[in-house]
Amino acid sequence: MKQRSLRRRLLIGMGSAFVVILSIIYIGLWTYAKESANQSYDRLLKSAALSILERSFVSHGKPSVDIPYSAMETLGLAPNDRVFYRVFTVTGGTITGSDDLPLPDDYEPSSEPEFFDRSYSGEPMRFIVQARYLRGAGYSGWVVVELGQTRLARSELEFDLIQNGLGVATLITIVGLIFVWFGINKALHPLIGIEAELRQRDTTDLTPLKPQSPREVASLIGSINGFIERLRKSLDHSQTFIADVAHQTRTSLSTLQGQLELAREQDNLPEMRERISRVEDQTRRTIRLTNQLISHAMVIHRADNQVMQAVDLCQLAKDVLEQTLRDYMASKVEFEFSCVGEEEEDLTPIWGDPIAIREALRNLLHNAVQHGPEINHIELRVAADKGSVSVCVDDAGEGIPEDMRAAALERFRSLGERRANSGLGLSIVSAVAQTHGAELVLTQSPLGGLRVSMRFKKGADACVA
Amino acid sequence: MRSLIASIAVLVMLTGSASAIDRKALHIHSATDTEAFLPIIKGFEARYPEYVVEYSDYNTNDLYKRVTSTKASSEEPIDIVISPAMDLQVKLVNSGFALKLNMVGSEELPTWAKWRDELFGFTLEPAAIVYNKEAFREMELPETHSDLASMIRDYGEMFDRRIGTYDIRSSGIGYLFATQDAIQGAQAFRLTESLGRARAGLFCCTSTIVEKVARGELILGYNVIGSYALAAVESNPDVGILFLKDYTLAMSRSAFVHHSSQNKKGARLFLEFLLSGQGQTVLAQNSALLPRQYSTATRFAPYADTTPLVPIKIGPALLTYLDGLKKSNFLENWEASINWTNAGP
Amino acid sequence: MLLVEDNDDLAETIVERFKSEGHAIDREALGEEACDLLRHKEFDLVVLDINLPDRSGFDVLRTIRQRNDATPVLILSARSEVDDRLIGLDAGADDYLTKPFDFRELSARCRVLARRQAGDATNQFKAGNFVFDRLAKTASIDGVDCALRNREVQLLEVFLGNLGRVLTKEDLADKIYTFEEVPSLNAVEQMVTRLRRKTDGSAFQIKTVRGLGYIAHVTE
Repeated sequence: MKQRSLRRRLLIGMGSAFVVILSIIYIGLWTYAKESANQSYDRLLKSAALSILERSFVSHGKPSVDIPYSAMETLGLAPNDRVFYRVFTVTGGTITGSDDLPLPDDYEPSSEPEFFDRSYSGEPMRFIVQARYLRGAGYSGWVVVELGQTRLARSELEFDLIQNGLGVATLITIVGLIFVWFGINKALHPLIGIEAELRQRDTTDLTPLKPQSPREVASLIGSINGFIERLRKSLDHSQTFIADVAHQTRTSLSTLQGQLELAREQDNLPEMRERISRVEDQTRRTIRLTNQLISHAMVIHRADNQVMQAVDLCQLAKDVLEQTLRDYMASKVEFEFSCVGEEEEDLTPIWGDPIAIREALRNLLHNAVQHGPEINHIELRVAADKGSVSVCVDDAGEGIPEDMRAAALERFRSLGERRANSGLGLSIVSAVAQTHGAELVLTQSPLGGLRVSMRFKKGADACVA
Repeated sequence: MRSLIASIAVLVMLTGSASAIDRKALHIHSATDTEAFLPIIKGFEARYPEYVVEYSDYNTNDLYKRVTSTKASSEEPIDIVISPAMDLQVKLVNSGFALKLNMVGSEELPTWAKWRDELFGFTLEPAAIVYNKEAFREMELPETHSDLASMIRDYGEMFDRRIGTYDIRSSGIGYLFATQDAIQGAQAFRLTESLGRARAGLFCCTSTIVEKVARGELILGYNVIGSYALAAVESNPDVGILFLKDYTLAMSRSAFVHHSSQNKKGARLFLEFLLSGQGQTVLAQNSALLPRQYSTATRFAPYADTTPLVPIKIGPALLTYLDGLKKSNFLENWEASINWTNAGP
Repeated sequence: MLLVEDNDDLAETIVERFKSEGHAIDREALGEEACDLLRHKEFDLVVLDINLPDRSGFDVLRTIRQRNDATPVLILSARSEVDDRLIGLDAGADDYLTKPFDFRELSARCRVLARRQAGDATNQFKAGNFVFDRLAKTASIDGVDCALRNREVQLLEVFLGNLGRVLTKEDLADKIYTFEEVPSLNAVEQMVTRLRRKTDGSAFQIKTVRGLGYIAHVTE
């Protein structure tokens, strides 16, 4: 995705807001301008119509009118507009003026003026009709005057009003945008400061950032500092891990070398055999250590690479158990397996990395065999309910005392030194549990030994990268 | 009534830069003496030799009838309409006979001299009084309309049948001056009554009145066209000219391009020429007409400072007295006052 | 047998081990050569390393199987991803070991595979003191007949054919009973108990995994 500047986004947002406001203002202005232009010039039409009506009278039993000069002069205030007029009665027709002027539909004479727009003589025009009831000798009835005027002056006034209004609105917009620009720059200033500081920073510099003034930025700095802290811890962990690995492998190999030298110097054959069988034991321990180190590294690496998919835990547990069985075929350890859901439909796949989970289960089973007595009973159970699927491994060994369980999850904390064990098994399980957002609990097993249970939540969002 | 005056193409052929065949005709229908207008046509044709002007002269009412009654077809084309009867011109423009022009220089015209960018006034010609110098040798000249009315009443015998004025029923310019006088105040009505009492003669044209004054048949002509009068006085030393000092109406001869003109470009050029400095100079120097703006060069210059000119404003107000009812009432009243049945032709 | 392994040290150790046990063993370092060799010569067993310099062991395995060559193949791998195993079995491997491995484990697995191959040919299955004659349908421990009934013989054959694999009761019932017979899981359970009792003390052993089924193996 293309990265957009925050400043540009803000500017575009504010710009759009101003465009919307301007549009609203324009529509408002347009309506207002039209209305006020009409109002102003309708007043001329009205006063001209009134002055004509005032000069209407009955003469010789017929309605008549003396068009006053002032009426036309008034209309002349719209300097370039053409003018048409007509004075008529409803019954007797036109008294004077252009007798083809249009009338509104269903016109009823009234002393109230009526305005309407119509095209006449090739131009859009504004008309007024107004009537006066005449009472005189020989005639009583309505005399109607109709005046029409072209719209030039109205349009001009309209245009002027809109232009002036828009001018002011545009000026306000420009000033507003300038303020917005300054505001955005001011607001973004601390961010630019942080950017500069992070950019100039040496890669090894993991000290927290200096706090900055605005509250919003303070929380950002808090988050960045939190991240730096986690990064520092993680680096520390890696360093400790590498030191631990170096220590463990070198110790193991030194032991091996020492024992081999001892064996070579042994003249007595039975004693030499005895030495060599101890070398073999040491070799096995070294192999197991190496396998676990690789497995641990793999689990961590895979967690970084997001290889989640739908996993059928039941089938996966079965596979791991079958494989383990082959490794301990000759031993006197009994295995038991179960896979049940509270409801049948609860046994749905979870979202996870099958290879990492396989490694975890394998280590749990191996641990159970390794740490348990020769005659042992180990149970692998998968249990599902609505929201989660749990995998439990129980053994009949000695278990781990409650106060040491937390420590058992850490790297290279081997609790029972008697057997081939690197102390990495449970920390692999712990790492897998963490990357899957699974709950890892160590408890006392009813079988007498340790119970390790991992509870995987259903749904992808339960996973933590 | 229509008198088609000969084309003056022949005159231009002599200077001939373009052949007659190539030249486009420009049809001007006008209520202006051909003689007075000829210098302008010449000036235009000299400047734009690709055009040839066909000029037709009418009286104002006939010109109005000609424009309203005929379709401007190619057989009887009308390109430009010129008339001193501003009210009739306004009515024609108001009825939509004019073409809108966006002309160079038209924005400099005063508001009274243009309307809608269609009608343009290109002269300013005051209403004048002509008098027989001999008859007024012993008398003080009147200064206001009231003075004049009083004088006619006071010296009834002297003025009896010896005043001439326009017959406003047949003369558009006469009607324009009369109605504008009526707008100025009640003294106009008194003056008309005085004229009636003196059994004033009614005439068609300024030139006739000036001639009769010169011959002594009349001693005073009222509301004649000042421009013609000023020109005529030059060759008639017996005739004096007077502009009243309470107010003096001034009309502007106006022109518009007919909307169905076949030669819009030429018509527009002609109007531009008419309003341009060059055209106005031709008016001032070679023609009987008076230009829109007065300079020392015009015949009116000696009177300019002492005469309060009231230019008649081109605009819809002029439509008022063209209203049928209004006009017939006005004429009725006028006839009653002038008592024309007593006046001999 | 044929060993395909590019590491000289490891190859030498394995060859020596097998020779000391009295087996004839050839060694190839490259997959291409191994394929050529397999085309011309028959082997009882192939031990195949996955990481070969020229082509992947899986590739070699697939080539062999495409030729309808059923020679048992045991795969060796040093990869950490456990999925290698599944891919190997899918590609037609018979067994699988991850480096580093116990040499005793290697020779035990090889023996099982070789025996399976040889057994098919000789109709006899031998493991330590345990002998099963496929033709005579008899099993004996130290020469003493186990007196197996027909159904028990069938069961034994199924187990011997699936050594090291977990078999559920349902798997067993499917293989022993015909379609018309009504299989009873209970009966299967009793039969396995009887077979286990009758072969007790022999190198052939059946282990029960509660909740899962049975897994058979032979000890040396």
